[in-house]
Amino acid sequence: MSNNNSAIIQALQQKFGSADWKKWSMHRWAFWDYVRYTNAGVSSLSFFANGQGSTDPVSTLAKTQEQTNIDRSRSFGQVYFMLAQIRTHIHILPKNRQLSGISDDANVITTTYTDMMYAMQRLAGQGVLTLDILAKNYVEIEQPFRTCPPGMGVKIGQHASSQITEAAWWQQNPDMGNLKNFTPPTIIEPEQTFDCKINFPNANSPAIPTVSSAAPAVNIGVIFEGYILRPAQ
Amino acid sequence: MENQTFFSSETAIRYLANKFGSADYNNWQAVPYQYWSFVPYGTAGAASYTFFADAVGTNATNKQLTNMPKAGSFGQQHFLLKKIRTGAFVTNPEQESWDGTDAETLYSDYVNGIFQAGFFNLEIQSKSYVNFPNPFLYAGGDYGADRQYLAGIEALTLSEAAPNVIATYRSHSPFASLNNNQDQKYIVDPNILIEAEQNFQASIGYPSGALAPVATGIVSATSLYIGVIFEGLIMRPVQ
Repeated sequence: MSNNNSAIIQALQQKFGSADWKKWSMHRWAFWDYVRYTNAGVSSLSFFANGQGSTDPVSTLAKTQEQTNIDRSRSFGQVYFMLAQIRTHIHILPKNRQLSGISDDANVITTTYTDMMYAMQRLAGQGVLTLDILAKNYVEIEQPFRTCPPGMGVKIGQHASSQITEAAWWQQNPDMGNLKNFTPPTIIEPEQTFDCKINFPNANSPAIPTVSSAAPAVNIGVIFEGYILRPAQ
Repeated sequence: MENQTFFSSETAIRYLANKFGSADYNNWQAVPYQYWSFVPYGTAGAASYTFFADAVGTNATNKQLTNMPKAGSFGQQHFLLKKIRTGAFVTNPEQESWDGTDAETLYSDYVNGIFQAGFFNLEIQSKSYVNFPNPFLYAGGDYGADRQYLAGIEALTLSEAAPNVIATYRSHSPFASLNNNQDQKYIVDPNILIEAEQNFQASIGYPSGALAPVATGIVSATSLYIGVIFEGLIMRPVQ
């Protein structure tokens, strides 16, 4: 019989534990966080601050796994994460998730989205992404929407116009070959806190014009790609 | 035939398998293979779509939709998962009938519809192994998607004036596909071995709300299918 707490816990873990802390597995993994853009423009966007189930402060909607897969604020919890890639994503919400005015506009995609597309293009040329781990800076990237493209998107053969003026479509670079890789990768350890932001120090980020008299819903996402290391179960 | 005495069922089975078996479990072969699963998207969307949940021939599936030998499992063979990609097909894209509205072209869903949302999750024995957002963008298809090149005017009307002015104009139809570059596939690193009879579940979820297609003029209950394709190696006993 042991009177030592740590020996008791160790013995219980070995006999009844739900994780084997002596065996670890490593998997490619992505952690992502999308935040709603303030259409008037912002000086800073914070990522990974609100986990799944908490409220996005701009959209005031509860965040689901479509917006983030972290459970807690600014931490990956009980896993190690080896950060090998950072992607950014300017995500115009699907038409059927836009406000009425846009969602019920019969041909918004080939007409009145046009000015918003030019605003997106202006946004892509601005910003500085920073990543601090335990308040120490590890990453600083200028024009992150171009330097850290999403590496995902569709292949557009041609856009079209349903109006007598031009109609534009815009997306970030969709090709995997242009992703931003980090060598060597950075390990964020269990329970370590980090802070990821995109700041706009030059001036506030561009305003997004209304479309069909409605404010378009645009999310800005940061995706951390890498590997998680977790105990075998 | 000489008499043979067995002291356990296991010994008897091993003896029979060695002598008369249709598979040699001491020798295994690895074959490049892919498993696919397509399900109808429907006209209203859904909170979640589950793939590989039906064996071919069950629940109105056929080889166009899936080649799974068993629901949620690869049956009596191991599968080394190397790559994941998503796909979609529509029975008739009706490209020639675009009338200028978002509802009459699948392009709307490619750039601002159902392909721009959701997240992918792969669970093996209820534990998550692969997880990524916007699956149709993140793990694009590699179909060598066809391309369409158009130019010119689809429709134009003039208003009587001096000189005449353009009243309405509609260009050629728009066209897009999933990103079909080879390297757009999601590389599973390190590869994951899904063992024989292990149960797994692959799903695309829309927890922020079921998302109806924009292209309501094209998509009917069973005209648009979305799919997940697993590429890798099957490992099976030599026969």
